[in-house]
Amino acid sequence: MVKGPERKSIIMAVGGGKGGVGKSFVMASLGMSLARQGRVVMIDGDLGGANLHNFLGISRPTSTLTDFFERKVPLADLVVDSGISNLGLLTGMVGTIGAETIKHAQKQKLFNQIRKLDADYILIDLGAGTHFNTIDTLLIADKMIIVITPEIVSIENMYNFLRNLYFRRLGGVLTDHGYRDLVVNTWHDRDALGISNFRELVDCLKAVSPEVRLIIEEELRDFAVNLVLNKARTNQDIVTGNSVKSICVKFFGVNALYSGYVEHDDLVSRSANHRTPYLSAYPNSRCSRGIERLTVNILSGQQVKVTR
Amino acid sequence: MKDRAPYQAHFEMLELPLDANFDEVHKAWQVMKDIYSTDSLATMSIGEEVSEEDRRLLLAKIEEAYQALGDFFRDHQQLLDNGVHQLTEGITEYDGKALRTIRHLLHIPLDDVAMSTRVPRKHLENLEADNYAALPVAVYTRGFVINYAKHLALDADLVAKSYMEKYRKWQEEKGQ
Ligand SMILES: Nc1ncnc2c1ncn2[C@@H]1O[C@H](COP(=O)(O)OP(=O)(O)OP(=O)(O)O)[C@@H](O)[C@H]1O
Ligand SMILES: [Mg+2]
Repeated sequence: MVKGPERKSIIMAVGGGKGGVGKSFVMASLGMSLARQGRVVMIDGDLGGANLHNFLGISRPTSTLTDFFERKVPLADLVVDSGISNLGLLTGMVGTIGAETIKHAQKQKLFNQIRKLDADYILIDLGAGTHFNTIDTLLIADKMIIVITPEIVSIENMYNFLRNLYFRRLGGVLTDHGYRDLVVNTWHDRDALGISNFRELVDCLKAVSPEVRLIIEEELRDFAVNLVLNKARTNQDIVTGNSVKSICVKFFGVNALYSGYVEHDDLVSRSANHRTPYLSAYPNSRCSRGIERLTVNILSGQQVKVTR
Repeated sequence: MKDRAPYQAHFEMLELPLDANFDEVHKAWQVMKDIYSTDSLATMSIGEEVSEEDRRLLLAKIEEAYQALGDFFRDHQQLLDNGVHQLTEGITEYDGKALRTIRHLLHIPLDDVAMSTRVPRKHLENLEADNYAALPVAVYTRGFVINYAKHLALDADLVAKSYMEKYRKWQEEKGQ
């Protein structure tokens, strides 16, 4: 399964947000939808609590990322058939080694092998939380996806995650250009510098020198996140996505796209319990149609229009 | 056609693309006002990141963008009205050729018409070429003509009546 030189895969990853907002469900469904147009490999990177397979309707694969980390099996050899045409799955592990213990070199090797997988679309599902391994994995994606639900805790978590994500990217970019620790040090001195929020930090960094400003503007120009609002029940919920997006753009200066919303449906949990993939069991439900629109939007960069 | 580039920041403030029309501007302005003047799930979750002062400033900018774009669209309309009035004096028959000539004189690119009217460019080309065979059935074609005419600030009813007369004549001839 080594990729021909002509094949360029699109990596999509979901991360952050609160636990249980539906990251795994959305990713599994997105994967199934994409598998109709090309070869998909899904990676369950939630090393603590892999459960992507449930949403794809299969039992836990026996070969997992543990084999990659501990027995040095090449990543491509660990991709198993999901039973869904054109869709391969690579599973994390439960309870063996936590994300915390992965070494930097291992991580780089993992990223390199992910990029070389033979697929049109590589989808990575990550756990909740802001651990730097989660963030670094998200940052290798061409499409960074963040799932929220219309609840204050979820949205608060999202803003916090977005800050962390942007910080890490900012730090990485500046380190690459020889400004190691600039971000961390500036943040450390925030009281003295009169920085009270994220935007002020970025402004302060840009003011360091014209070169730093240029680096930030050039390198982060393409930095964009795709927001997905899951478990929508009302029109008000859907509009919340528009508002959140607007805030990300205006107050965080981060290019956020409101890529889609997915309606709440009790059958989602039930399908997972019965090991039937929701999208193929209920292809015409409002929830499934939301997934289809989301797929189109993520690929094309289109967004949900305001409907009020 | 007035250049929109100087208005980019205002379009951005309302989170609109540069080719948005006035209806879209108006709607976006209402939505933005709503988002930032009332408390919602989205705004309540930001915490200290955004102060009341920040919000007030932002609302002022949103208002400014709306005013500026309002002026822009009004000027644009006036320019069209004046220009068109002179150009169309004495014209009573509108075929594709006449429409194209007027459009050229007004310096309106066809892409611009396509973007604002959302009529596919290919249909507009056929419309201007009087290529009736390639145009859709009468109801649609009439709709295209009306949208086209409106964008050029022409008397849409008059133009549609004239254009569709020729279209129907062609249809009758074809039928025999
Ligand atoms: N659109 C939806 N409608 C109804 N239930 C949903 C929907 N999306 C997800 N769920 C349910 O919500 C629960 C959490 O979903 P999921 O496991 O995908 O969340 P997660 O964000 O991946 O969680 P974790 O952070 O633990 O990985 C599951 O029981 C799932 O069935
Ligand atoms: Mg999950």
